[in-house]
Amino acid sequence: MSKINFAVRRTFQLVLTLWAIATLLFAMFRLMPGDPTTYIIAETMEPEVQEALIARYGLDQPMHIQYWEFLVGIVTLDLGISFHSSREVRGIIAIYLPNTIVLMITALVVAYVFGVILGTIAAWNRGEGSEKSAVFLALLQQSTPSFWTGLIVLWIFGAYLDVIPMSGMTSRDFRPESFFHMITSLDFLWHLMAPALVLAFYMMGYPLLLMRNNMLEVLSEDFIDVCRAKGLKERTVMYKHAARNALLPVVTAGAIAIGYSVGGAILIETVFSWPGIGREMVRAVLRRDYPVAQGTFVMLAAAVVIMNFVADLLYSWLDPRVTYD
Amino acid sequence: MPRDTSPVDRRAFLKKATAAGGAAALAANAGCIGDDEDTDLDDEDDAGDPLPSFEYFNNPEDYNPARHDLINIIAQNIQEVGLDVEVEVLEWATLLSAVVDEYDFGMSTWSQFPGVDPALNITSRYTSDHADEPGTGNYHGYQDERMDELIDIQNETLDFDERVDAIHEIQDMVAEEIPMHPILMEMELMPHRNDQLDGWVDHIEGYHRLTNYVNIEVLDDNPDNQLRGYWTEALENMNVWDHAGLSKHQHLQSALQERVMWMDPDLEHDEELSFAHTIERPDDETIVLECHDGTWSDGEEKNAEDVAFTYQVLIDQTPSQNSTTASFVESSELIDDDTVEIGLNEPLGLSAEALILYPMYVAPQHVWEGVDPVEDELVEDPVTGGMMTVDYWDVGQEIQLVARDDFRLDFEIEGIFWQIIPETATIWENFERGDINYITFAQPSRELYEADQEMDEMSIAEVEGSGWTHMNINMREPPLDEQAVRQAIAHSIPKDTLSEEVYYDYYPAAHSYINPSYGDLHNPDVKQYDQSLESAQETLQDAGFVITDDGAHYPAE
Amino acid sequence: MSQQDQSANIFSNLEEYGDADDVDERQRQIRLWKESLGEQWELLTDDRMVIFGMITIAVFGVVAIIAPLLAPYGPTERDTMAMLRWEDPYWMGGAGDHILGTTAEGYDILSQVIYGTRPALIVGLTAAVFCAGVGTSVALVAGYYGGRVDDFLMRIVDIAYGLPLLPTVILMVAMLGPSFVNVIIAVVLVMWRAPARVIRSQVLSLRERPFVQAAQITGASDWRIITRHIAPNVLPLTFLYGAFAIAWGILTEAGVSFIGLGDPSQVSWGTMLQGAHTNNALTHGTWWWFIPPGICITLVVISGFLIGRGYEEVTNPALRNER
Repeated sequence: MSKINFAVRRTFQLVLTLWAIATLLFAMFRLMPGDPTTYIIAETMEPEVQEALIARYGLDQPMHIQYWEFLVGIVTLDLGISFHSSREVRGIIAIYLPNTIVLMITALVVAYVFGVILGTIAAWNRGEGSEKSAVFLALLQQSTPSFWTGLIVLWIFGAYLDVIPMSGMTSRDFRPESFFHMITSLDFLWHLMAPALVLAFYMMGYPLLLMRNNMLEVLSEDFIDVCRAKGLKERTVMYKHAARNALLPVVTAGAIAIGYSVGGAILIETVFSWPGIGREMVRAVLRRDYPVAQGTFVMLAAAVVIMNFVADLLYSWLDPRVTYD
Repeated sequence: MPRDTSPVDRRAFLKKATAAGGAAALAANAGCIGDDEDTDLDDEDDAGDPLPSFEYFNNPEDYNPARHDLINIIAQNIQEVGLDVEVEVLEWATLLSAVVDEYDFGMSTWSQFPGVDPALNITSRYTSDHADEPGTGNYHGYQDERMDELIDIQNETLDFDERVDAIHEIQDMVAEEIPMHPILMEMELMPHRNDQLDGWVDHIEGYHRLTNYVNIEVLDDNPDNQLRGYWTEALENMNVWDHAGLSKHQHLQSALQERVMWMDPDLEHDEELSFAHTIERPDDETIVLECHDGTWSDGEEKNAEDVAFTYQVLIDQTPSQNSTTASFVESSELIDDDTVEIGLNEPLGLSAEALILYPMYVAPQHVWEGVDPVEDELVEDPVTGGMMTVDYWDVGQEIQLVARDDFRLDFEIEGIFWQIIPETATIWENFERGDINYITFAQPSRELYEADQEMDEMSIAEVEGSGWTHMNINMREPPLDEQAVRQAIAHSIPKDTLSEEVYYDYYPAAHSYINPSYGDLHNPDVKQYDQSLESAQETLQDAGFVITDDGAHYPAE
Repeated sequence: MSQQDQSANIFSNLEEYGDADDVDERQRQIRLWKESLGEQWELLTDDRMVIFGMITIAVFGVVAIIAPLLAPYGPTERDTMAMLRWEDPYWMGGAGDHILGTTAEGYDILSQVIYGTRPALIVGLTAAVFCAGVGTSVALVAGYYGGRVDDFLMRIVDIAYGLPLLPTVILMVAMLGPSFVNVIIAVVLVMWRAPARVIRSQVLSLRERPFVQAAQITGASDWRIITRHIAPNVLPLTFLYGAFAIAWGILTEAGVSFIGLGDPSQVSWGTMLQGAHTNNALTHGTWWWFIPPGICITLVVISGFLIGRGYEEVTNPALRNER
């Protein structure tokens, strides 16, 4: 099967998955106990006012029409209006998503760079103490609840030593002219440091272990022995040949991780009061702002599905050994 | 408010030993009834069926930690009286909806603020018809003809004394029948940096209204002559027709927009602050307003025409937040350049000011004309008629208001700045550094108490507010349909202990449905309950219920 | 992206040990399983880190069972007479006999930590059993039957791969109501996908092995082939994902509780941390409230991962430490 064929099939699968998740979501919101209308209607409202409100959010339509409009809405990126603020849901996403992306990309880059380096070293020194410590470190990183690490970092460096800001993205008197101006400022960097590093600490375990495992597999292959036999320096063998070959799965894993970490940053955003999309989703869920909860979830799921798709294509493009069945 | 009028001798919270003294009401041993020597147990042969169990809804701890704790303590006491209560923790919106929309609950506890006048609360809560239709306010299921009469009298009379008598009688009835029972009075607390701000005016609505904004004095250590506060989540929409119920919006709208009427600290019409400087009542179905004039923040003229327009929108569109007001208003007419006449569709007496005038922000006609429905608009750059206007607003981060120099009143503060700070720890951190200079949404807490003790730069202005932390009872649910059971529950609430232990003495015990803050409307002589488990049990026994080792029973057949 | 396909299969020749004539069918089956498990056990227990993980979980298991004997107080028991709130640990000069002090509500912290073991292990182990069970069953069916069944099941797996873990759990718990059962359901709904996908590809390759094909020729039933020839061979992978699911279950429960969507009627380490957070234990410096639950979570979770790693090395010899 050709690469084009694979890509087409994979695209079809992408659409199917998104549709299924959207349908699941729609069903879930209609199955839940209580009526979504109870949030928007107050006891003191006149009956006709209540009806008007219900109609405004399209909740008076028959179920199949609501479902159709929901799907059309997703395709046209029209995710409805917040119960809470009358803002368009996509407007809300546009406010908070970039903040999450900056935090997440920073953390991912740090995590993957250090993870790959440590993983390579660990594999090279296999059987030695340094490998064991690296593996243990990686497991510790995955095991420590990220919000707890965040709390402790805040407790020590924020409350006690007072060297990092306790919350937020910028200082009070800093008024950036644009998003770009903000993220390139020192003030922002100072605020970004702690949450990004805590998140990176948590995310680093996975690439570290993955890199180590891939390295070990590559090192057990014949061509490494050939390289050695050729008399290449150990360092050259390690970085140029072994690490290079072991890196591919880590790259695709990184692409997938981008998708998952958009939603995975929720806890860190909560601890550090980072105005991100995850925290916004939690808040929407807690105050029953269903359009926002629904819209942000679709967005988070789409990020995952699309990045999985990208990773698959990337993998098939980069690895000549992959067959398309 | 000066320091010396506040309860100076706050309980030394770290001195644990003293706690036992105030806990007399809790003296019964935990566990089963028989352990308590004071209990006068009845003969088991007299006992019929045990009283059925009922649910007591609790909010999650993180939603309101103090209240969560308070409910658990009360429930423990009710259990010890011999009543079978089950605490069920529900997520806040679910809890509210189960009680308010579905009338499906046993007991619940929360805080409520009837506002500048109790008329609306009384009407909504106790009108008999409202008990039959879930969602209309009478979740207690309290139905009484005399109560219905009294509600009409206090709504319609133009005679102050007659109104006072009616409202006093309502308080007596509520205290006897206990559809609800107040536990603690909500104080309005305003912790602030005393090196930056002063001049707070005590007002039943708290410290975030125009009355305070125009009176606050700015001290030397205030670097930019501003009020600097916080909110824990984003401000999203500055539409005056939407979300006025959210305090975060009300606090800012009070600075941004004109209201048709403000009440002064004595709950009288404030002629200076109100856009309508004169209010006349030619008859009980008409209100005539004479208005100030001025300019909107975009330079357009602001006058009575805008007021007439505002009420016309109310009549035409009935925006949901103002639907109660709208249900009374029939016509709105501009009589001359500065006079508006509002026609009502039913007689309203003294309560008209609170129902018709106080809730309304004046909306600029040139902005809103042709917009339908007004409440759906997203307003990000509001045209303002009040003392301030929006200078900078980043939805996820902060908002900055600045003073308008063409407003008709003089005042000292040059702006209001709010930053979004979700974490309490960070709030107090910033407060200690002076970065924020008032605790915008203060609740009794260990942080507040410790700052009060240790921080010289903090003072707390405080005044009795309009609300209480109270208990709602569903009178439809057995055994809560029995008056004696409800009274026994009221007896078992250790109000003073809760005030001391959980609320650090900031909120005092409350006894009457109408708080003392309403002045003459408050009835100081309502039935008070003993905060005693013994009284609770006696009440049950006097009513014929039988208390044995395993709790309270109906009498045997 | 399954790298496990080529991994060596350590039990591929089990069939040859058996002697069909003198051993009863059932006993044979038992022996087969026993051997598989025994062999894995030996490989596993070679690794000291795995031993550490197992001991830790066992210790917490014992603590969970005898919690009422160990804990000096009930998890939400307090003396309403004296109400010792915010009490320091007694070895730091606090009043009373609270080894780790008390919470803002006056509950004994040590007792809460001890009782917190119960929900943690219940959530972790239940999630593990169901994740591994559902995942393996789906994998066996899909991999063995192939064709349309496989296609269908794998599309469902693809859909599950589209669900971000934490947001899904948060949404489900918010809708179905905050309880441990709902957390477990949500975790399983998301996490069964990994064992399903990986084990399926293992099954695909096992199906082509001579010993399976031989069994098919002799007319063995599908059920028998799956349970006897294929299942024992994928068992290490099942355990691997089961062990990981313990970790994920506990981490997720803690995270969801921290946000405020945990089971409000139960004391777990997650709800303890949430309580400490909402009551600002951080600024009050009462570290004895928020450090112990975090350490306990980390210990149990890392044990799950360590055991999982052990199985990973069983299934993939290239990862073993010997040079």
